[in-house]
Amino acid sequence: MINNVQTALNSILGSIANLNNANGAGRIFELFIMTGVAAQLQGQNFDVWLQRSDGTRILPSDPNLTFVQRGGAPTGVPPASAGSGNASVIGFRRLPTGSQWEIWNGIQFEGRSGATHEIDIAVVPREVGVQLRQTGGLPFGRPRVAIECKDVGKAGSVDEMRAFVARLYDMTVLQWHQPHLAFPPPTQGIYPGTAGAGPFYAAQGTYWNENHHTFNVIARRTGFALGAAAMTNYYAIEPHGFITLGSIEAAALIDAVCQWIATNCP
Amino acid sequence: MATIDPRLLPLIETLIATDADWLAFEILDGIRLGRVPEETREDLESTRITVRTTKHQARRSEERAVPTPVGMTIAGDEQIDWAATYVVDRLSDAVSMLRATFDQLNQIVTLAAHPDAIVSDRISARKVDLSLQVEAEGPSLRSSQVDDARTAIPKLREAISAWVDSTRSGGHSA
Repeated sequence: MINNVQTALNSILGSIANLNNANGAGRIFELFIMTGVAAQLQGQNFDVWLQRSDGTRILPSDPNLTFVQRGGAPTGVPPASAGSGNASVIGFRRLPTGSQWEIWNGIQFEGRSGATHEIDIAVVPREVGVQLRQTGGLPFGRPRVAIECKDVGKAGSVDEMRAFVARLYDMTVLQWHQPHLAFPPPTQGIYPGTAGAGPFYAAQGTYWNENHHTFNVIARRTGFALGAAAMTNYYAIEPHGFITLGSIEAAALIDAVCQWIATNCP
Repeated sequence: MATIDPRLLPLIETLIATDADWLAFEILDGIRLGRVPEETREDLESTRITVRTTKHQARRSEERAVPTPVGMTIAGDEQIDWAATYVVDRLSDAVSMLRATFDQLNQIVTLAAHPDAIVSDRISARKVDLSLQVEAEGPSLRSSQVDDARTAIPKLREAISAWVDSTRSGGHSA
């Protein structure tokens, strides 16, 4: 009996080598959500494209049609000069002339403490990516959309929520932080680049305001333990559980992210 | 305290033998934690609605953050059933989400070439078949390989079901 189980497992894991890696299923989960958001935006009057790590678009007629997902140790944005073999991103722009944005997977952000924080899925102004790709480096500040993906069997705990809150707190740049920043005014929510010229990108006055000026999600394949949804209101973190292909909750997550982008991103 | 049912060992050993150690760890971890009471889907939805509308409301205190409740032990035949279901669902979910990811990537790159065209024209554009590569790791993955894996999922479900029946009835597992 168990030999038949082994044969079937070999067929699955032999076909998808990603699943031989402890992080493989988690990466699939992240990419499923990332591409789900992008694909839905494409149907909502947004121009959406796949972009190599050197900044070039992937076009249907290209000989190399490979989307590279981030792997290995988490890092910042690699320089474009390192070529196209590093992680790809997804770009989007509201048609016809809206500002441009990038969806990142697994990029490390630098917080005010100097600590780095990996955000599983982040939406940032494209100018931040353009600037970073010139030399490579870490974004400083907070993405406008931050999604923490949890593809684990056990239910989410209140400590999981605390950890995400702590990351967002360290990445938050407020107006009164300006004297301590290495960037000139006007104070922005995220650096580098000068996307902060517009009011949407300007740093907020309080943590509460920045929490509600951004969109923050913990997305789990499974559920949340009783009591784990504490702190969600004040820190504006939406708990999304039971995210699997075809689930009502998966559709609700994608809808929520896309609706926030469509409503808020200039 | 949770204990591992010895009848589970053949499944754990099989997972290790097929390079799915991570899945073996997840099963053992799940049994150790037991069944934990969870927030209901309705409560999570209600919480999300509250988060979205908070900006229009007066600030208020949060509910008390309580530690994760103790899980109920999964033991005996229930442990065998739970582990078998876990393996099939875990791999089935991963494979189906990967297939959907390929579809979504192919859609994006196909339609991206014609952002200004009307939707029907964009959809009729040439279909493409991207490959997926994890940075600094191994060869690219193609959608046809994912399809191969999908065809093996029903076989896995059938084989595990037979193993569960055999194990529960006290038969030989090998």
